[in-house]
Amino acid sequence: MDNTIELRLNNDLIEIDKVSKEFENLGEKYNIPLKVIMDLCLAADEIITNIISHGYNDDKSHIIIVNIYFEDDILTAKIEDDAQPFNPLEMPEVDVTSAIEDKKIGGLGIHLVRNLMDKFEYNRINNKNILLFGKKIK
Amino acid sequence: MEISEKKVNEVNILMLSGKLDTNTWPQLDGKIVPMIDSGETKFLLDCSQLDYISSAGLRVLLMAAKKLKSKNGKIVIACLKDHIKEVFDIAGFSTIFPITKTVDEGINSF
Repeated sequence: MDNTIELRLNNDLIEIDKVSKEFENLGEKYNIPLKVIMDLCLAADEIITNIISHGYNDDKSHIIIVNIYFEDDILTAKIEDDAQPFNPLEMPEVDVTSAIEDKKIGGLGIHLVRNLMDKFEYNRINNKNILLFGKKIK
Repeated sequence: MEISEKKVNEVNILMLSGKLDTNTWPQLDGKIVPMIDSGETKFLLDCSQLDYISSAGLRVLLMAAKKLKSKNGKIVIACLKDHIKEVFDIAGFSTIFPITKTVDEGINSF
């Protein structure tokens, strides 16, 4: 893939499917292992769900820009949004060892992304959140 | 996601196919919660056709397991693909759910 694929999503959860479909298309086109593609779909689900569900404190529509590209052998997604500043890398580690009664789901999505991705970076630039995640394709 | 269901030896087997994520979790929630509320206590999820699960899907499983715990019921997870098993491991779910390699093994565990 020489170029970047850009997707512009409305802040509606159903739009996340566009990103998953794009990863799946790339997986087929470049013969990328299913596990890599599914982990990237999961990361997109967690990150964009967070933005749409918690990032906006108005009822206006917002655009989330997703760029997908290869950086060496890392299939990478750059997510750019105008939501409130939120750095998921600063989220405290969750305790995943607790018993069923005490088990909580909050923070689990970020925990999964942090553990499944090879790249996970955040920047706040020009009042925008810029989040990068990516995974080695081999 | 698609869910098909059958009952074997009083065990409710739900076969999930596709993705259990932010957009599809209400389907499973809408299926399993009313069953638990009507008194069913034995569940087996056949995940052989499940492609991935996100934290939204894990939340449904956890909530259902919590409900069942107070009724001495349980959910057994069968036939997880390797990459989903890894998600269970990372989330700490492999220690709170019984996981079996086959559906039969799951049914026999009740």
